[in-house]
Amino acid sequence: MCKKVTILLVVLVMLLVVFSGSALAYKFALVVHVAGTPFWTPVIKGAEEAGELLGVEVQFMGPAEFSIEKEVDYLESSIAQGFDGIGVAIADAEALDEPIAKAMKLGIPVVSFNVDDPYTPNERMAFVGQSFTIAGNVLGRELLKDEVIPENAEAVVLIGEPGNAALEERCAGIEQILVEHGIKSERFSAPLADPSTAVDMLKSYIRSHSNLKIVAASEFSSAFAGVAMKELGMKPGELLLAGFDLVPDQNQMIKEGYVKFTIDQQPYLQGFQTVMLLYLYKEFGLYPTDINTGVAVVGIDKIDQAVKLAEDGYR
Amino acid sequence: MVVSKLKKGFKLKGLGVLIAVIALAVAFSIANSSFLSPYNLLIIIRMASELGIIAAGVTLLMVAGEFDLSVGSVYALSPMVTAILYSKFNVSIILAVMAGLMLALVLGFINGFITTKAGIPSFIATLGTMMIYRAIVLVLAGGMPIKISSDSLISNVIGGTIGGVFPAAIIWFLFVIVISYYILECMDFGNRICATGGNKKAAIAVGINTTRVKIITFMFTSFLAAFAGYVQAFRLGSVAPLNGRGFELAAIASSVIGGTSLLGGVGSIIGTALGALITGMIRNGIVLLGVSVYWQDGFLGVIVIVAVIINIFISKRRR
Repeated sequence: MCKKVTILLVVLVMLLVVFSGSALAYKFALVVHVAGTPFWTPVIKGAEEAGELLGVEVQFMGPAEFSIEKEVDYLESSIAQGFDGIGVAIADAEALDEPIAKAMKLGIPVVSFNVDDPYTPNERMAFVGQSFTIAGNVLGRELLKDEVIPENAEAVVLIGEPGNAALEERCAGIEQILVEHGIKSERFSAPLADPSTAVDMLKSYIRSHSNLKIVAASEFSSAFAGVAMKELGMKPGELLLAGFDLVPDQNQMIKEGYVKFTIDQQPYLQGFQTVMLLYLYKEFGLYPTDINTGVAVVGIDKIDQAVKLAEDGYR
Repeated sequence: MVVSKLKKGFKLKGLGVLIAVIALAVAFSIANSSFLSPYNLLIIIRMASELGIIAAGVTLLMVAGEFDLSVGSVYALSPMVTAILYSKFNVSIILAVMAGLMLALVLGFINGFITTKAGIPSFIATLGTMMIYRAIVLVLAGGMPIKISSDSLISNVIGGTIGGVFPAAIIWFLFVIVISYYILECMDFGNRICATGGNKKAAIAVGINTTRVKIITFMFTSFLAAFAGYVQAFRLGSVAPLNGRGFELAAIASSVIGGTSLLGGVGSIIGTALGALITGMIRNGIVLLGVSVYWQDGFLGVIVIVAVIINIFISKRRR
C-alpha cells in the first residue's frame, strides 16, 4: 500500500515539475468568464505573441462554460499566486469589483479587456476592446449606405443574449441610426447556441413581416437570417443583412451575398494590447489607457483575406 | 445491530481522500511555494466552501439512498427570489432571505414528495425539478444578473469577511460539516438515515418511517444548497441566473471521492469535506501550474477514480 502511494506521489511530483517552472521577467494572467468558445483563439494568440516579443509569460484562464463565480475564483487564485499583472473580462458589473480592488491594493495592475464595467465604480486601470455603441453606429451607417430604402420599410435588430451589456450597447447604437433615418424597428432574439432553432424562428419572423427590409444583428445571428432567407427561396439582397464577428457561418453567408458585411472587433488586438499595457506599466510605470480595438468592416471584397487570417489565428 | 457495524466502517472511509489531499498539497507546493501561503490556503478553502456546504447535504441524502440533482438550481433560485424581492419590491433583506430559505424547504419537500409518493427514482425526479427550478430562475431574472444587498448586517454575516481577510464562508462550511457530522454520527436520525439507505426493508421492519426520513433529508439538502447560494451571492453582490450549473455532479463527485457509496447506507461527512477541498485545490493549483484550464475537469476525473480505488483497496484490507 505504502509503496503504491509513494509511486503515485513521485509521478505527481514529476508531472508538476514538468508543467511548471519559468524564468521570464513577468507573469501575466488573462481571466475570462467562459473559456470554452472559439472566440478567444485570436485573443490568446495575440497575448502569447506579445509575451514572446517582450519576454513575459502569459497564462489564459477561465471556466470552460459560462460562470461568473468560477471567474472570480480564477481571479482570486491568480492574485494569491503572485502574478505580476492581470487582464480580466468584466462580465458582471458587481461580482468582480472586490477582487479587482484587492489586486490593485496589493500593487497588481489590472486592465479589463473584451467586456468592461464602465457604469458602476470599478478600479481597473483601462479597457482594451470595442466601443460597443460606436460599433452599433458603424453597422447602422454602413448597412444603409448606397441603399434605396422604401418608405414603409421595417427593421429588426437581433440580440442573441438579452441582458449581455455589450450586445445591448451595440443594439442601442444600431437603433440610433435607424431612428435618424426614420426607420421603424423592433428587437428579436434567436438563440446563438442553437443554430437550427434560430434559423426556424427567423424564417417564421421573415414570413410574418412583409415590410421587413433590414436585419441588423448585434452578434453573428445575421448568418442564421441569411440561411433562413436562402431556405425561404429569397434572393441575396432582398433583405439587407449585417452583423458582427468572423465565424464560419457568417463568412459563408457573406461569400454567397446574403449578408452584406460583418464587423470584426479584432480580438487579436485585445490579447496583444492588454499584455502590452501591463508590461509598459510594470517596466516603465506608464499608466494604461483605454484602447479601442476598432470596428473593421468585412464585406465580400475582403472576406477571403479575413478568412485566411482567421485560420492563422489573427482575426 | 447492522447500523452500528456500518458506523464503524465510516471511520476508515476518509482515508483514501486524505492521502489524495496530502499528495496534492505536497506536489503543488513543490511546484510553487506560494501554494502553501496562508492567503492562498484561505482562498482554496473558500473555493471549497460553497461546494462543501452543498455536498454535505448531498452526502446525507446519498446515505439515505437518494440523489438530488436539483441542488445547483436551488442554489440559484433562492438567492434570486431574495434579490428580486429586495431590489424590485423593497422587501427588507432579512425577510427576503427568510422567504428564500422557506422556499428552499418547499422545493426540497417537492423533490422528496415526488420521489417517495410517486415512486419515481430520485435521479429522474430531481433531473426534472433541476430543469424546472432553473427555468424559473431564468424567467424571474430575464437572463440578467440581479444585484443583491452587499452592505447590510446579514450580507456581512453570511458572505463577508472577518477583519477583511478571513472569509465567513469558511466558518459556515465548518459549521455545516460539524452539524451534518453530528446528525449522521451521533443522532438517532442519523441511524435512521443509514438504515433507510442501507436496508430499507429492515428499516421498515424496525419501525422507521423511511418516507418521512427521506423527505426530511431532501428538505435539509435543499436548505443547504440555498444557503450555499447565499454565501456566494452575498460575497459577490449579485446573483447570475446560471449560478451553480454543474454543482449537482460536483457535489456527488465530492461525496464519492470522500468514500460515500452510490448504493446508499454508507458515507462520511469528513470525507465529503475533504472531497470538496480537493476540487478547490485542483482549481487553484491549475492556475499555479500554468497548465491549460481545459485540463481542470480531467484532473478531477483522475482523482475521483484514484480515490475510489484507494477506498475499495482499504475496505478489502480491513475485512
